[in-house]
Amino acid sequence: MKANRALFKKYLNTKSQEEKHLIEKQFVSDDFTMDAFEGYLQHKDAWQTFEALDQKYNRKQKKKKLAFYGSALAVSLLLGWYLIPAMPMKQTTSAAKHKAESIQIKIHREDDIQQMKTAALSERITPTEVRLNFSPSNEAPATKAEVLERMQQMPTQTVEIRQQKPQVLQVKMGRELLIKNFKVLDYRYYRKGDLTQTFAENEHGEQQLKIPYINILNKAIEHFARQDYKLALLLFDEILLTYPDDANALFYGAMCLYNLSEYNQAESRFVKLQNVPFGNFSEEANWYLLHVYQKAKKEAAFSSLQKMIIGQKGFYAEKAENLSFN
Amino acid sequence: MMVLGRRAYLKSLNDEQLIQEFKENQWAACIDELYKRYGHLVYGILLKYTKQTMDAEDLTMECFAKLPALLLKHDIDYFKGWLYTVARNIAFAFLRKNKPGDVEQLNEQVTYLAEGELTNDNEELLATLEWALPQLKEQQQTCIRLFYIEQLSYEQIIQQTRYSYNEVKSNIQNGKRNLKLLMEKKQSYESK
Repeated sequence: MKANRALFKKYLNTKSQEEKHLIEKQFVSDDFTMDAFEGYLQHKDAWQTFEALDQKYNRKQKKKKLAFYGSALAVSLLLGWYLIPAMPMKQTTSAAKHKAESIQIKIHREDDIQQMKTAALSERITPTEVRLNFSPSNEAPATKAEVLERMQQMPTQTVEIRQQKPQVLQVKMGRELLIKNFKVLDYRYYRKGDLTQTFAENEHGEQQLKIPYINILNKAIEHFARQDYKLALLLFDEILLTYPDDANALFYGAMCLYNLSEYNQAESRFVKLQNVPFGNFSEEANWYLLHVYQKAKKEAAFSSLQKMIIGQKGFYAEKAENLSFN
Repeated sequence: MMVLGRRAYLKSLNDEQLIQEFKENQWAACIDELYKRYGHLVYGILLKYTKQTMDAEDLTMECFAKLPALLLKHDIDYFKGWLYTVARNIAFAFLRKNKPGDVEQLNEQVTYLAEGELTNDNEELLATLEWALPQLKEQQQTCIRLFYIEQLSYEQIIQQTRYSYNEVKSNIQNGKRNLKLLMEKKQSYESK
């Protein structure tokens, strides 16, 4: 339990003495919190006056920022010509990207995430399960080649095989690396020069800064591994703001949403993952999408996806066979 | 590289990393994040001592305005405890200057514990209660009994005992500390 604003509000507003006692018990040795409680309890409208102070503080900071942005804007205009050639162009033309962009996913703000509730332990898929359940890495070229070769030799009159062949051949696998033992697509090979350099305010009036993608991903995975799904989601969504088809953020963000019981939103991310340029997570996405359908009680979608996974005879085929809708 | 909302990035750091970031880059957003985490606590402390919302408001602003220079000047191991001291010092300086009659509050003992100690070892404490409770001062006995055994809130204890909030708080904290000392004494006696 953290002595944050929400907890203070709860403590000061609750009528339940039992609830008050539980909070006090948590902070009995924390003089800072207990003294602050005492301060607020001395005045009936103390919390309201604090909220007014909050607004005053924010207004003051905003004024300071405006002065900063005025000068920064002038600098960025002067440097603008330099930045244009650095914009990534090639990848955006791919059909897959257009398709991926057509699937809308919700990017969350901090407040949205705060309101989400973590699912009960039995309803979650823990990071350890995710880690242990990854399909074998795509970085085993010999096996892949063998699979493709064998498929080409199959009789062409089999309708099922004809449907599968182009799918397998179209999937582009990216290089992978492990962060905290979690598989991630290593975009450092595919986004060279992919940098937006700006000092402008974003839509929420926040200052922005440049941070290496891999650092943010690292931090986000760290939170995910610690089962801090809200904080992880916040960072994955930040990645998606810049790279809407980022397979890592889509996959792990969807897992966070799943564990926060936001099944519809998890579903759109898993579906979108099927249409991004790299297919490193497509098998996993289908497997966990099956869980989403199970939780969201979408029986028809569940059984058709289950059949598809079993039919593909991939890593999750057997698991899918054993997963029942109820 | 990617562009990330600075606030989201700073939010993901713990206090000590945030301060490190501030020392390296001197981003004002670091102070904003600290305000977001502790502004309400600082305001509460200042309200406790000044007893006036206007004064508490001004002093809270003063505290966070001073923070950048103080952070650069000091090596801070545990920010929350350090900020508690800073806020109290600001309150005391204000009282000395404006309300010298209230300075007796300055004698109050600062008993801030390190972060690791904040979690309660209540079970161990309860085990010692039975035999050690009668050895405490009467006021401490009463408060400890009401809080830990009867599970009453501070407000209920104040109503029952007519002690002030501060007395209840001190009695519980000091009582708890004395119980631990008694327990340690007992253990060392038993091991001989």
